[in-house]
Amino acid sequence: MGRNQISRRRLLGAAAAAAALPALNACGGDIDPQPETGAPSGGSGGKEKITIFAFLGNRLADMPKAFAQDYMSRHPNVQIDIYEDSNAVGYPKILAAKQTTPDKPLVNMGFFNSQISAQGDLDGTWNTLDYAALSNAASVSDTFRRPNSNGIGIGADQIGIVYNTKNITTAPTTWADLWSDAHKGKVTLFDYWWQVVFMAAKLNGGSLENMEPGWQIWKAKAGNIRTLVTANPEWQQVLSNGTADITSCWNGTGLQFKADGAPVDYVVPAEGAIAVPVYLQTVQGNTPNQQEICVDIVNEMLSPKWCQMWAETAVQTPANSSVSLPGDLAGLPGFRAENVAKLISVDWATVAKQNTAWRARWDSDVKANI
Amino acid sequence: MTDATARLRAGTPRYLLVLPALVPLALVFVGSLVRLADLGLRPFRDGRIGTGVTTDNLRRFAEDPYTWRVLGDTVLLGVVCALVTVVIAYPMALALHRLRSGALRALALFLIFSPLLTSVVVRAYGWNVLLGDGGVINQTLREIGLIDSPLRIMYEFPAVVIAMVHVLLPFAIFPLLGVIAQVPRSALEAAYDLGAGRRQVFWRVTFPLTRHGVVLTWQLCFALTISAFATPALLGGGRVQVLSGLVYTNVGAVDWPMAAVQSYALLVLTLLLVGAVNLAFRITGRHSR
Repeated sequence: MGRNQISRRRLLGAAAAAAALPALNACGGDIDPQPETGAPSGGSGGKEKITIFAFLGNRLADMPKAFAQDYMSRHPNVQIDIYEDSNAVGYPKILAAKQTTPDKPLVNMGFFNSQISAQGDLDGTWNTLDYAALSNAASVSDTFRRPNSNGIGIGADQIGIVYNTKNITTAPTTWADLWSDAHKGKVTLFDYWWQVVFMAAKLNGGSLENMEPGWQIWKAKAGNIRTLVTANPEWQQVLSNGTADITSCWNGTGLQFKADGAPVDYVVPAEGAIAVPVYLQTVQGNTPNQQEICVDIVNEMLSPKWCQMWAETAVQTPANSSVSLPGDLAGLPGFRAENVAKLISVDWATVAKQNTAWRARWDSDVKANI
Repeated sequence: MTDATARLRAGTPRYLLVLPALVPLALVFVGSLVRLADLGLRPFRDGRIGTGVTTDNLRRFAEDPYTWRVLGDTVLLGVVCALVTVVIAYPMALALHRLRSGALRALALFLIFSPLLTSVVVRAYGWNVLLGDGGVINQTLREIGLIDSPLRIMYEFPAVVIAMVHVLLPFAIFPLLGVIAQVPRSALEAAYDLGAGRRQVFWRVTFPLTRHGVVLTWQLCFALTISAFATPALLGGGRVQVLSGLVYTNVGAVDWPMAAVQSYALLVLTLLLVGAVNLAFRITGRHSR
């Protein structure tokens, strides 16, 4: 009996101590990082392991996957894993890893859109690149270089209008079609699509710094929205089955919907589409060895071969000026010279800074009134 | 050794059996709560989580009318879904209890369980096929000439309630089945022997003896509904907003301090409402004795 008593006490004591550990840890703020051993982090047969973040869906991971196979065949000491997710869902996880285990980033590098790239600048997520050390960067125009050298562009998508060609016989021509009475109850948007608010503001005397006219318009016209979607398949479904007829959408995504058989098409509004460069970023917390490999990967991805594949599979304008677009892409509205000339540039740093305030307005002025 | 000590020692191993489940729960739950509290008190400015301690996030939460509206909608959805589920589940549990055929009973249990065998996303798209503008229900109503334009069911409150009730039914039927099975047969027989009809037996014996289970089931369904995220997000189309959706949105926007405050609000809301229902049940129980 006596033995049992001691044993139980010990057991309870150990349990209490174990339960208290995370609480104490949380009280102390961030979890201590893993000790740096200097050994390759992969642990997969001595290979250096690199995880690349790629966009989820459609053919957006085709190029990273093909590149990884090619790179690993030429560098047997490197193992590349592809982490597929949307930027919106994946970035908070990267940030969480940065806060909890700063020396063990969730991914070592990846593809990130302009908004997340700007958010990462604020959070100190990216490493600075030395453009002079990237031989292929010489063919990349200033449009795809970032002022702070955090990452470098590989291509650019654009945001315009996608519509159901069965239900809308005359293609939309202007951003104002989205808030026109003609499409009342037939608009679908991705949840928190500030771009339409920006365009409403821009067409009514506002700007990125003064979004008020846009908020007023969408507050009054929130009834135009039939549904807000949260994922690409849902977006494709509501546009295909006629629940909604018109949306503001990425060129690449809209054309992928079309390629999948959805009765939709992408149009560039008369005022121009919004340019959205996609950047290759390397992540803070990489070991020097990992960073060296990442920089090498970034450089190789910028080469004409891989940049062209990215442009074709993601349906984007390539960053490398020596890449020639295939004929079927060059003929698309988004790639025509007159439309490229009209592309609207956005100050993504402002977007990242205003993100919280705009989201709150989106909720209270748009979402609450649909 | 006193009797009390002996009784305590005899009972102790039973409590020890709970430890393997309790310790990991305590690790995750308490640890998360402390971490969330820490995050909720961090400043958030210009899209960045800062260091230090502030009550700004509590103020932001309290002063945002949209959050309060969503809070109200969350409670309404929870109350309605839990109520509808219990109302449907109770007679189903009663019928299942009375089923004599083992095969039929197994089949019925499988059918009730089946919603849990598919992913929430698949279920949501299934409901879209049924309830959508071009869905089976609208097509049928159109073909028989009852409507000219489609009824707007999808991406509205009723669609979320229908889908939630479908998911909640197994969670309600099984506890109710257990409670109903505990009603002593002798009590029912005594009631019949004393001349009570079926309806009287139900209202004066079966239901009073199972009403505690009904309340517990309602609480379970309520708690599951107000913390549900995927179904309201996929079937509500942005029109039906719940607090868990706001938490998700703020996590995505890296506004983790606000997400932490809203998570606490969800927890407090659940505890308050479940506590209030318990209290009301005890008070009414005392009066009815």
